[in-house]
Amino acid sequence: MNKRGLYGVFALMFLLLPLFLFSCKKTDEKTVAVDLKKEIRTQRDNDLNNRQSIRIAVAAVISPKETAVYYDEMMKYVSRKLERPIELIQRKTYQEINDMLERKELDLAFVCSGPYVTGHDKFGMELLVAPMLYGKPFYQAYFIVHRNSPIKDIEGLRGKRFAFTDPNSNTGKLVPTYVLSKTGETPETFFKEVIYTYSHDNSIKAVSKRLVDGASVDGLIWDYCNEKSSECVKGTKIIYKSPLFGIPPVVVHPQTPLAVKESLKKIFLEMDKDPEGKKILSEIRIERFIVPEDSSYNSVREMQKWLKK
Amino acid sequence: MMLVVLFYAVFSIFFVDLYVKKILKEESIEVGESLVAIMSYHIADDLLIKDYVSIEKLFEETMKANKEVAYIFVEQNGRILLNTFSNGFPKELLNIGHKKIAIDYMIVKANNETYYDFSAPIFEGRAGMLRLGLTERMGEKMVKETIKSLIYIALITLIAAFAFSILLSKRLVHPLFLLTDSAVKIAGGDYSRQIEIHGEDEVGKLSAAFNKMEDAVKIREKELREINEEMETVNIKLHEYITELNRTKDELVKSKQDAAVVQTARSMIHHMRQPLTYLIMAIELFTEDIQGGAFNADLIQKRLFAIEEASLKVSDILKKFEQLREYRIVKYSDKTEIIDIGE
Repeated sequence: MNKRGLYGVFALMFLLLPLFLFSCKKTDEKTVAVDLKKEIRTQRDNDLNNRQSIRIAVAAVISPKETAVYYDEMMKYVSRKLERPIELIQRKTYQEINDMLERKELDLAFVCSGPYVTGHDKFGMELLVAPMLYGKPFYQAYFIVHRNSPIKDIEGLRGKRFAFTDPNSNTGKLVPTYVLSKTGETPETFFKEVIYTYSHDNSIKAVSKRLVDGASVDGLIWDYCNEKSSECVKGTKIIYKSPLFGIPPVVVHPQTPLAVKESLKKIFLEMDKDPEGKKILSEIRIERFIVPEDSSYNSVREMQKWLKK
Repeated sequence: MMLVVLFYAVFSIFFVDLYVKKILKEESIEVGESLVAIMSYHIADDLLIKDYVSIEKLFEETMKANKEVAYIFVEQNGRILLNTFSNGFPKELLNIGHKKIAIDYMIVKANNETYYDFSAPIFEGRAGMLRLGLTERMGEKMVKETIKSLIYIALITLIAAFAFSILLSKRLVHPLFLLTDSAVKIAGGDYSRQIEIHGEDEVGKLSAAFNKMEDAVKIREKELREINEEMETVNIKLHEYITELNRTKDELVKSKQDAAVVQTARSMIHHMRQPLTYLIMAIELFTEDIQGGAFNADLIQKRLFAIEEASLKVSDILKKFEQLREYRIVKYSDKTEIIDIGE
């Protein structure tokens, strides 16, 4: 072959080589063949269908993902003790949980103090147990602002953007509304803008990221995040702490069978005596569960009454 | 040129078909992985609180914004919680072997179509798995459109190249033809025609140069012709001179030859004289002796010997003249010139 022919061969190989390279498939790529015409009808997940499991709801005190993480071990523990599966139910608003409990779609619920008072008044929502944290079954609201904010008191929040959690939340809505009403103000007149974050950890994040100028949050949540060295809390500071209120309880429908109520109560009350239970409780800063008094929630009732006037 | 255009058109089509398809596929995979990652994060909370309406809205918006998204669904422990199939869920799509703990994709071939099926765990798998299917249709359509465009461009380019080559050939070939024709005529000696091509371009300049060259050749030929005629005249005269010279030379040669013959003869005579004289003397003496009645053997022998010697000398000289090819004049110190007839 003469020189020209050789150059021609090389040129052709050079031109064709990319074609071979581009046509190479990845070796770890998987391919399957399916027939999309073989269809089935699917039913939406029906909460009422499965009555074998104990349905426990946790109100959106913290965001759903955080709830799933924090309550995961507790639910597994209760399930083992009850020897029945537990289904953890979450909803966006406190009202939905109250409604589900009222309709007996739940066996047990962790609710906020405000919804307990409302539920108790509406359909006799019953206290089962309540957690004790930091030596007391009480908690308070914290008004928080960004740590670099010049705002030092509630008055400094006038004309600013403020975050509530849930419309039915005690510390997240009722308390700041009550505090303002005492000075003749309403959230609409006092603040420039109000948003609802539907969980306390989201309110803390909103303040930390300066999405709002201030928020009212559950003091227990703020303290817990502070202990865990959460980056979000470090971006905030407390400008006001409310008086103490009855801690968010664990409740049941009044018509829950006694046996179920007693079994559940026993498990929660003895949890701190069980090493495994104690470990689970300590992770979420609960010392133990107690049987609360309804009167512990009178302060919440008083605020609701005041605001209804 | 058209072959080149055709070659590049074919090459471009192959290139688009393979390389662009590969790029589009990689992009689709990137888009798909990104979509499922973002969506699985965003729907976690809604899924945990069973806010299916919000999730379905998100699915709807996602499919509107991304035409390549063919389907989305959420499965939890083998149950379908949500899906975007309007007629019913294709059960064969449920368990196709995705990884459970990370974002993953597989190629699904279904009913003459190809999909990239992505899966992502929602909330580390606790809330279920999000599955999303991207169709290859859009990418294939884009490739087909591009190939179509390339074919149109190639055809237009071919037509343009064809027209251009015709124009170019007219512009270049015709003048070259004229130049060639002129060159042939000039070679044949016809200088009558000038090339009528004008212009500022190279062809025009070439034509002008050619015409100048033709004029120059014409002048030089005329000069050469004149010189030639002169040379012919001179040649004729030279010829005459040469003839005269030859004649003179011949005469000279003849006279020289005559002179040489005369000289040779003289030389021969000169050379022969002595031995002949000797021979004559020897014969005379011998005759005298015989007439005198002297039959002395020794004397007779002596005389005979002398005759023999003289005869041999004569014979020798005759032999030498026989071998004579040229004559040389040999001058001796006494100014005697003799022909040396070869030693």
